[in-house]
Amino acid sequence: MGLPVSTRRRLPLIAAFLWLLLIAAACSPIEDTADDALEEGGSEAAGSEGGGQPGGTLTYAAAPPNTLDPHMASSLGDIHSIQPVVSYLVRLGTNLELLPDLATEWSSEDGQTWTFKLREGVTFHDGSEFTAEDVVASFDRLVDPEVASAAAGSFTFLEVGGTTAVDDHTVEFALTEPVGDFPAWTTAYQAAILPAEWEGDFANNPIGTGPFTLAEYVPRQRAVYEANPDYFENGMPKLDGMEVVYYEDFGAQITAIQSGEVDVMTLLPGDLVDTVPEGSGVQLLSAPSASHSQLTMRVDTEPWDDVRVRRALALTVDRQQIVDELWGGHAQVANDHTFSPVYAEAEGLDIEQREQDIEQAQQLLEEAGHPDGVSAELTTYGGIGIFAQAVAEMAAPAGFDLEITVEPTDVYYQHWTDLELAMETWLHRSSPAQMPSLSFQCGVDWNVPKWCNEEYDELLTQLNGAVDEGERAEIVAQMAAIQHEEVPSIIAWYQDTLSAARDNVSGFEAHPANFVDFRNTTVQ
Amino acid sequence: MLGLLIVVSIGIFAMVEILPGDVGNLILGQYATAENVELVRRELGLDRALAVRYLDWMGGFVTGDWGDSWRLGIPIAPLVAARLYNSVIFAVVAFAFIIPVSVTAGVVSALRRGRLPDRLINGASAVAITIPEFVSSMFLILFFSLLLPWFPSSAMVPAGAGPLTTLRYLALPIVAISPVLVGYIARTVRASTITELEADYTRTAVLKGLDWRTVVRRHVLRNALLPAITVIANQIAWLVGGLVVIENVFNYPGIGQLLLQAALVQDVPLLEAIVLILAAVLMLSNLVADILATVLNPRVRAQVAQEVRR
Repeated sequence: MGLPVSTRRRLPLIAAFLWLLLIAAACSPIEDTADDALEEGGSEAAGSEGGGQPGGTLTYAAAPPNTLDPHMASSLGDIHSIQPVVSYLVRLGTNLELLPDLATEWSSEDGQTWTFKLREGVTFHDGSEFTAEDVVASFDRLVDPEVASAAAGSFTFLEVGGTTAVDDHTVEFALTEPVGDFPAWTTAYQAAILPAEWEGDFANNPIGTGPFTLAEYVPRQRAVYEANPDYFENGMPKLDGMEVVYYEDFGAQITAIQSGEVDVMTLLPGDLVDTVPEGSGVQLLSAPSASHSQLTMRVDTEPWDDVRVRRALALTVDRQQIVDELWGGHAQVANDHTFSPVYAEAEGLDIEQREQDIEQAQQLLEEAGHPDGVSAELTTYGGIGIFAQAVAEMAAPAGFDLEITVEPTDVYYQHWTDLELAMETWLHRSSPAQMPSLSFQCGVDWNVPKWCNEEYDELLTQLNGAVDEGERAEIVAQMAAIQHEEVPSIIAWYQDTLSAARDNVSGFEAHPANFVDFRNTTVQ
Repeated sequence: MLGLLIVVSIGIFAMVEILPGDVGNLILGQYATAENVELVRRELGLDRALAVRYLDWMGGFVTGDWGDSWRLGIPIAPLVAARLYNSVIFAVVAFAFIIPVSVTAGVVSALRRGRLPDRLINGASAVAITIPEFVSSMFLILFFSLLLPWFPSSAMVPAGAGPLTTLRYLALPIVAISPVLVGYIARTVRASTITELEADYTRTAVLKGLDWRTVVRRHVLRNALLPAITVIANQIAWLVGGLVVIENVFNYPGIGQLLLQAALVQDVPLLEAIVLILAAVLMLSNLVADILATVLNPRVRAQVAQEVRR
């Protein structure tokens, strides 16, 4: 019986070999990164149990950022990790009011030259003083074509060198054309103010003037924040610190907030509204916004060149049903234009609401020479496929045969401006002039329907330059009426921005533009 | 082995190339302007020919310069290393649970062949093999994290956690992936134990008067566990890299989750690094399985020795 004996002799050796393998695997060069992270976190993060103190420590869930460079931010995940650390010139409130942040007052005579008075006595997280030079450097970087910030696409009216320091605490913007609500544009996600001498790499050089300092950042895993004791607003922030945990997946975020592992979810997708019912310990927070989906129709192709066909399709949509059933009530019915009532200029709009009317739709189709209906392909992507499906089903009785193609998001955005019928979501913009400039002006890149209306463009130019509120409202009313009549795209709802917080959290609100503001937040 | 790795690396480059979608768009987001997309493509060197890009990357990779992730803009080597470390931790803890349970179940089942324990274990393992981890994980979260708040629903172990806390965080995902593995290993062990129980040498041992327990311990199990070791070694690679689903459901920062993200955003250098590491782990664990089989089995050893002599 040589076999068992020889094996037995070897067993300890084999066991030792196996353990060595495991230990080698566990230790090797890897150790540094992982262990450093663990140790740093251990001393600095109190974890969610750190109650007892005045504000406590909050844990929130967010999508992982792709970059922490504020000027390069392009996703909500980026914003939700950056905003606690930085300040803007102007702060956008939850009702879209413009509040002083680093600028205390602003004015312009003609809408083309804007002067901003800056707050004094503000220091950056590295202790250096905040001055006008920092604003100049930040805006120059934002609009520098070599930097390729997503903001450059919006700030078409500002060039490098257009921002100048009048004195230490006054800055002047010389725009290339009048922009009546320029202060609202300065609330763009990317327009955070960083030190003039900032050297890049925000993850390792997180220097802002915001209510929190970034203490630790582990890409795709977590970040830890500490209250900034020198924050310029007295008594803020109320929390001692925060931790953000990154989730790739919304399903995992939902279970985490339901089980109490996180206190706040910065963004809740509309199709998950049902997962946080009342009384579940989680409150659903919602804020009306101007975010919407557009079903665009190429007006340079048959049969969509005929406004009657476009109106017919718009008449088939039961908007209230989509709002009630697909959005669970967390949306507002819209009237085929981009001027949501959340904009002050659009509050008093008085255009008759387009309601579902299949008979009239059929009649319009007949008049347009399509008694047998219209067939077309409707292309969309990811999560909004369900809305396209709903529209297709509502349109079928009137004679529209719409074939839906749902593509991956990045594939969609490679050819979206060439599609005959397309549907995509547009997030809230801080100025009501922004959506028309981006997607309805003659000939602009993202004018998906290829619609061109000279009167509308003329009004847009006036709106851009108008500073007076009453005048702006009048222009908006005319633009909305044209868009509603011409229907280059069907805009059936404005969706609310949704967040969620556990019942023990107070002082956190959903924000129409998805900003996160934890300055007044407390957790028990 | 090296040749295979090169083939794998070329395959990934080619596959990403024919995938729809553009890296510039993916990095800058949907509202990127065409000029900015072009700028990013130039910065990444995407305006060069595919072969040039591959050779450039390959040259860097073999000299230890794995470059930066396109999407995250951070060095790849420490990122992949940290994730691999997490995955290895997970695999070690998982095996510490799975191996004793499954081997015991298999042996007990074989020794009580045809009787109640055997039928129970055999039936349970047949069912277990059919439970995919995305099903088991959902039920586990529902019952043990939401209804009974005993375990956290995510496996993202908090910073600075001790071993016990770590175990608590890893418990659910490990139990979730266990059914398939436990069922599989238990059935292998049962089959091989039965084969050895029926072998001639077992009867010889019994007939020469050896105590039954000694026969089982010394002769039967020694031989019966050999196939199990091969099977277990084959699962190492799967446990380290194949946990894409589990890592996403439980938000565990392992290498499988990183692999999925890299693939989704077409982060080629990151994707290459992860796949090559995983391919290497797979080859290594197969190699270790072969070596172990040789070391433990004198018959194979003798064969090898003979071949060497020839």
